[in-house]
Amino acid sequence: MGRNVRHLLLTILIALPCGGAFAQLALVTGANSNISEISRAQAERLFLGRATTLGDNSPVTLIDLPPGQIRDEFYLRLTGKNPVQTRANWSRQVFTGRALPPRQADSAEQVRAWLIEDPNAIGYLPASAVAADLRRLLKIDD
Amino acid sequence: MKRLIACVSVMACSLGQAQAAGDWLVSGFGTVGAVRPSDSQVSLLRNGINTPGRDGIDFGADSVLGIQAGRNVAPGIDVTAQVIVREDQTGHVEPRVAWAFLCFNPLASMEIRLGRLRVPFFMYSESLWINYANPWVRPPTEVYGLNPFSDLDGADLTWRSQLGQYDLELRPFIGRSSLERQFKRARLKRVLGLNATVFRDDFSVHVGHAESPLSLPWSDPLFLAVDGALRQSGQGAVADQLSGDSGYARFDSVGLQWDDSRYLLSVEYARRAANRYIPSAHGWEVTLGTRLGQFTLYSVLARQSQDAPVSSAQLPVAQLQAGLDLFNASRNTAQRSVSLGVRMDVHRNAALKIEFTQAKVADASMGSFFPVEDSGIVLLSGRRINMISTSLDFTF
Repeated sequence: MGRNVRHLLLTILIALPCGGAFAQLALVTGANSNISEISRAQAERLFLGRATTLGDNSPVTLIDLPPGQIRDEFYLRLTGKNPVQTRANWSRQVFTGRALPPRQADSAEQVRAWLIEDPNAIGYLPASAVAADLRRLLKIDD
Repeated sequence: MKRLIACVSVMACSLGQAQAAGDWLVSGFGTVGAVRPSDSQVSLLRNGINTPGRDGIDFGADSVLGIQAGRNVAPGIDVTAQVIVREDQTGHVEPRVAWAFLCFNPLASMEIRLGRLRVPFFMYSESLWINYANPWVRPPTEVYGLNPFSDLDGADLTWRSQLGQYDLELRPFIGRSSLERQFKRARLKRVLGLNATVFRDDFSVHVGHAESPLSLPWSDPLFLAVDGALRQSGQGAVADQLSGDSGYARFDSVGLQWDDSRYLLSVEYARRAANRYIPSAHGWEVTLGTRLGQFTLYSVLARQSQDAPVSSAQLPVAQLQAGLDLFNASRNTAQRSVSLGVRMDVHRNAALKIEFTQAKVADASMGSFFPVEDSGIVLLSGRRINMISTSLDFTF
């Protein structure tokens, strides 16, 4: 799939309403990532800012999609927190020095690029957008 | 104050997300707040520190702007610095370093921070000024007025573990603290403490204890008058209980939070025990809230009670005793209050809050208020004071 076509597809997926094409979300990393596996509980702790490294103390970089329905849906499914709770929680974690905030990408394409570039990075995307250069770590269902 | 309001207004108008400047991640938070007590002769003391406002509306009690920069400097090592701007107890609005620390993980379950941290005595102490993260316009003063210290220059260690479905976090800390500007000789000289938190889903429980030698040299006119009279009357031992650098203070707190997507509950009990210079007191708060779309409605019950005055000495001369009683009462901040409020999440990163509070100051107490200059008021005992507070809290 050409880069432009993939970009267009990801952009369309991001723009689709909740409950549509991203009924399945996936926690993903680069195909050549250092991260081999992660438990759902571990992912939840990371995206709540309650843990800053993986279980073996290896570093991890969290990547957020830009604000929008996919991001809200991901946090709701993984952590059970709605958008207001999520933002309040992260502002507390960040401004009390407990965790650095996730790195925010401008687009799904940028998420993909950062995941490939950084072997310690994890992010999330609609399951249908996980191409061969990414590896799915967890399925994030309803 | 106008400079601060202008600053935070500009920030509020440019709400966005954290910006990457090189490898630094820069973000911030702020509040434009205004509080008006029904009694024009008093001003609110937030956390024991504030300068009385003018013309009845006080913008200084709650307004704050914070800018933070953090970056990863090596695998597993981060640095974070935060500067906040708010009105201090002398009325000055100047930037000051609130956090500046190096953080590293010697083990996956352990994190060590060295540098300037916040005094973490109570459940919301670290996020005291992160108003966007909290449900209220300000954390209940009945609890948070028990500790006016903010900085902890030292270190803490966070150890995390899992017990079945529960996450456990233990955090010992050590350091020292002093108040700002002319009160900087008020010091906690060697803080030692331990916090424990257990999380599960929407629920968390916090328990904390800390203690420190305390230095608190009062210099206000009332103290100077009472101190002088006591020493002239051969009551130097009693005068030594009022002010000096050989006190000892202990802080304890226990609290719980429940926050699912519909309801929120916060309950906390906190206690300050001191052997001299300040009263021993305890406070508690119960907050119950419910979310309806972008609105959060909440109510708060809170109370602070004095356990022991600064000095319990019984003096042989009635006038001396009256002076000592007045001094004791002027340091007592006991009161109770009930509040009703609404938070509206008006923007992705901004919340507007409106809160009504009715406070009743205890007998022989100042409550969480301060008489305005030239009011001629010495004590606020028994007064019932209403307050309307509004704030726009935001992050960027």
